[in-house]
Amino acid sequence: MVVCSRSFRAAFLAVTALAGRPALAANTTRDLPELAAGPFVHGVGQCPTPADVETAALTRVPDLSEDVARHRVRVEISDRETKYEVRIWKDGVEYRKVFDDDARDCDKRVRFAAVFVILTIRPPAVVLGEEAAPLAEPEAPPPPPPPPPPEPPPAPEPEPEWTQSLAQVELGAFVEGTPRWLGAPRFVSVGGELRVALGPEQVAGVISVGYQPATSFAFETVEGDITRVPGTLGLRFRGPPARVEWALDLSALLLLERLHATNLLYAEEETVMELGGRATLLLSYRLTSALAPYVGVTGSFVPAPHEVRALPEGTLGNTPPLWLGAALGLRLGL
Amino acid sequence: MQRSALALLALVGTLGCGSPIDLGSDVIWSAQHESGDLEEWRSGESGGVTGDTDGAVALSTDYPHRGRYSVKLTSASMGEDGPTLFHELVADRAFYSAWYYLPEAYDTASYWTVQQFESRTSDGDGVSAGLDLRMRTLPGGEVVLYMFHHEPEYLQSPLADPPPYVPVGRWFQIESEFVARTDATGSLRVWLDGELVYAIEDRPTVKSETVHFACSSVALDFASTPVELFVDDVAISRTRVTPDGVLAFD
Repeated sequence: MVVCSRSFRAAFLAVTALAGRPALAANTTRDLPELAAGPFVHGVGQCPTPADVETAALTRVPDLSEDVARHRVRVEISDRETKYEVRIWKDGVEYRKVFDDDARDCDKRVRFAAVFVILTIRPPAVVLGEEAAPLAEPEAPPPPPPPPPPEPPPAPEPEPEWTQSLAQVELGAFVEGTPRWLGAPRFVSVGGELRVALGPEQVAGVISVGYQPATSFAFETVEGDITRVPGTLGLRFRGPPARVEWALDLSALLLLERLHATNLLYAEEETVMELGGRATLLLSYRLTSALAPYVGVTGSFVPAPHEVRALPEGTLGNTPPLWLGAALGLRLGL
Repeated sequence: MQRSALALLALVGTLGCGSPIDLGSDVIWSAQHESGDLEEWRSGESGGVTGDTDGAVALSTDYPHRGRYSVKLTSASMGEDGPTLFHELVADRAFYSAWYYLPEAYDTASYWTVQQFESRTSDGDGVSAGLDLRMRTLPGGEVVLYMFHHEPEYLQSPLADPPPYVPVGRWFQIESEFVARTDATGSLRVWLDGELVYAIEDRPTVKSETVHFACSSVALDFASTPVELFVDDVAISRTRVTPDGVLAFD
């Protein structure tokens, strides 16, 4: 095996840098194997082969065999796939070094093992003397090892695969209001609503019922309160299952309204039914696969609102034809 | 399919376009005369008719305001006992509305009382004169409305400027907000066809808490008789009736 002097020098410098590290261990002679004549580098494995390492060492330092004999040196090489170990016994003391090499670069292993053997048998003071002048050419000090790469940021948790449940139950509160227009007084009403969407697809059925307790209103001279029970039946269009989801409900609206005057001499209470439509846009954020708070906006339209009247004023106006509102609640997927 | 759609539309119409919502009423009492008699005035002990001699107070279909009937007050002679319809109640503050119709402009030299705010005397046997709304003829032939208070320190109020002319040949509404007080906190405001024409305040307006409200045709000096004055849709209400107000829903 031919080892070029530049590569060998680099291996020398690298092994020199490693030589003082704790990974290099020296033991006593307790487990010194018996020496035998012949090659002084032994071992198993093909990367590197003991013969290549011995040849490389003797090529660089031809009289190394004298030191081998004098110091009763034995070297064992062990190929351990991504590592290889070099054990050296010299004067009854064991030196051991394990090198990492994921790439299994066998030439490099030969160079590194040979340099480690030379430096161990003949320490740098000897190697860098006259005989080893070629190796001891003044060289720039080795660059400091590069700083360890920064810790990569922790990998984000993989997004769970969201699915749409067969039924979604939503319980929430909402506020609805209407300005004083189109013959209706100003209303602001707060209520609660239970809604169920059925179907796992992107178009599902939806049904809801709500309750809005009595809230006051005032026509020009007549004051009163109104209690509402809205019910809807319609379709839900929604986006693909995700952590953040949107849904649009388009529903027919059935309103039960009870109106009661509060400042008339002879006050009456009437309950009426109104029909219309409602659109609700919801945005939800899944906390878990089944639980998601939501917010939404809603608009209701009653095309034929009821006329409201009293004596002696006559017609006061009508119930609101348009309601706008906002909703907040919690969705439970079943 | 078509039949189903029509049925659905009919259902929507029934539910969504149903009858109006009636919230109630502020009308304390009213006389619309559509029953064809004067029961609304005479029922109970709180009202009645006086000066009804020779058919001076009669239901008529000649000039109904709304509906079929109105009351025709005929003054066949002159005097302080002309035909009068009255209703009594205890009301600290109320609006008194009545519609009148003058078929022609009658000449009267002094006064023609068409509405009175009096009070039951404390012993309950009589009526104390209070405030009158009266009409009289101006030299140019116009008929004006003015106010007269029977208390000596008040008597006749100045004629409003511009003068509140009473129309002839069409119905007009006189509505008053009468605050009945025995102390100097009473008041009377008068609207003619919705226009405020008189307002007096800070004076006693009654002798007792029972208000004696009357619609009448009482005059001392008509140029000629008989004089006919039609009255209809009389109401006492907690809120203003206004010319657009209604006393009953169909």
